[in-house]
Amino acid sequence: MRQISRRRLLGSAVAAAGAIGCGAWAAEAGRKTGRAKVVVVTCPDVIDKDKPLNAPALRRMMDAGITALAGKRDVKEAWKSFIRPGDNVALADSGTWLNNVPEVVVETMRGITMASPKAVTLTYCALDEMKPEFLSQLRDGLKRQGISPSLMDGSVYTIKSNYHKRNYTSLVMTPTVKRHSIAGVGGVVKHYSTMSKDGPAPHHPNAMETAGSVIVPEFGHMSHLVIVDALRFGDLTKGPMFWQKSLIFGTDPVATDVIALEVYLRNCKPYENLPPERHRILADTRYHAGISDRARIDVTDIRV
Amino acid sequence: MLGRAGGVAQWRSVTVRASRTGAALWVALALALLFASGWAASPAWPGQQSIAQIVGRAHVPGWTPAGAPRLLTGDAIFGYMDGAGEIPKACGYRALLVRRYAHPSLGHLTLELYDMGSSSDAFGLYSMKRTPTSHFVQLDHRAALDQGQLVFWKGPYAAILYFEAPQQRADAHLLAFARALSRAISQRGAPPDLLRYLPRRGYVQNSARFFRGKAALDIIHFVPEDIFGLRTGAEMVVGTYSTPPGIILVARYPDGQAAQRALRAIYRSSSGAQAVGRGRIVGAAWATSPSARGRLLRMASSALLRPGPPWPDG
Repeated sequence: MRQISRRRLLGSAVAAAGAIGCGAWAAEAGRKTGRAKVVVVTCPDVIDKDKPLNAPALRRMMDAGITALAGKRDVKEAWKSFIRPGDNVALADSGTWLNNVPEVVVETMRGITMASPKAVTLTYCALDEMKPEFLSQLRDGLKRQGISPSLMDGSVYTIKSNYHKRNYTSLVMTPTVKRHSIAGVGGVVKHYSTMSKDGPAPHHPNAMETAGSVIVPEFGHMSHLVIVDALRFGDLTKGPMFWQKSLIFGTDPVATDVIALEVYLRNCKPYENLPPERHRILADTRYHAGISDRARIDVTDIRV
Repeated sequence: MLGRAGGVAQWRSVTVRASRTGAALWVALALALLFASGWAASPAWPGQQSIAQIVGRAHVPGWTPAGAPRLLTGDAIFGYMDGAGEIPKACGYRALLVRRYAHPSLGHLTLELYDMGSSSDAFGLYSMKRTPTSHFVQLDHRAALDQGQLVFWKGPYAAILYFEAPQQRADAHLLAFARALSRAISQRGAPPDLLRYLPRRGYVQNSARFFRGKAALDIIHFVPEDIFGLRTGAEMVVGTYSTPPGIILVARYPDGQAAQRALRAIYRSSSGAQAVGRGRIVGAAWATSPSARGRLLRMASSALLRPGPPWPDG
């Protein structure tokens, strides 16, 4: 993984812009270039097991990641690379069991609104309602950013979901990564199946081998921006187990998930003997939803 | 064990005994909350009152219920725990009651109480949630403590208790809840009879697992194809062995023909498993080294001919 300073990154950012930006469907971009780009931003000071979130550090991480992914110097312009004025944007949180650090969702919402899309909805997972304190933190965080909590809607990301009934043109998501007793390690591709109109259950057999099958048919008409909340990695339903302190940015769901898994496996294990790479590879080779070949994924590693 | 054709559940009634003064009040409160919170909208479920009473009596000083309890049956479990629901399903779960509790200084604790219908299946869910490296404590049966989570079983019930955030004094509170729940369940239950077909020599303590679905086997040894026919009503135990290193699997089928079909599928597959059959039981071995696999298979074959005594615990 290439490691560069933020200054050097900005210096070379424009050259890195291109195929993945402009709200294009990532798999389409991947087909054109044959490559995918993923940005990993890590900040040792952002959070820890016994240390609350450092909001300014998170802001720096978010700004560094989005500008690096877009290849733009200006944060607002970077967000506009992915969110267009005519977009009807759905922001999906991580869902339950490893809820997002609420500020990650709030910061993402802030970025989206900076790009001034036609409409935006925070389609939080309906299961979050089991954790009223999480929703209350989200509402309070939005208010602090001057964003109306009325943009929160728990009726879309239900199990089974209603995304297909709405006219969203852009999907932004903040999945978390966790040890998972069916997928081995759950992440981005699995998250799409959870957000699908039939729910995740039909995709459970055989280590969730069909999880990636929903991405193109159900979400392929939308532009995609994935911001993996890898501040902490989770363990099944038990909450955080490792404080990774990273955010992972990409527009190709499969490539972003492959890198998220790579980062996860540095310090955490899959669930027993389940093969966590399998459903990610099949999302590419069988369902053509993105790039899983590590040799064709360019990773930019940033420390802030 | 195998009498579940058509998915018809035979409910056993569970006698619940009051164990503390004021328990009746808690039961009444719990039932009132349950029925006021949408339980009544669930399909009729004969075990509803028993599971509610057990949870209602699980009162631990300092902790108060947070929100209404939820009862889940069938595929509704996926609406609660997504993929994690496959394991309880693979162990034959009938119903799940979820209740959160709050403590002024310790935050939230969640109780999941599963009605598994039989003590074999209750052991099965417990066995899928513990590992040999768990920290074990003795309740009515062995219970496993891991990183702020406690798993135990008693009678036809399995329970998982966990803190939502790391706590330094977690274990004492988890055990207090577990003991309160245990007191409210009168039946002790016994581990599955199928465990007798696992050899004891070389067995890694607390490694045996019991289940009925492929999703559970996938966790232990992933093979994309259902070579053991676990989607057709078989039950299986799997034990880990240190000498020689590997695993032994024993499956019991509804009839001899199903066992024969599984044997053929195992030998046709490229899974690397070797198997032997006796009537409606199939024993199989997996190991990375061929010699270890051969030795494990001989041990499995022997145990099929001469099963051991019932296991007192798993």
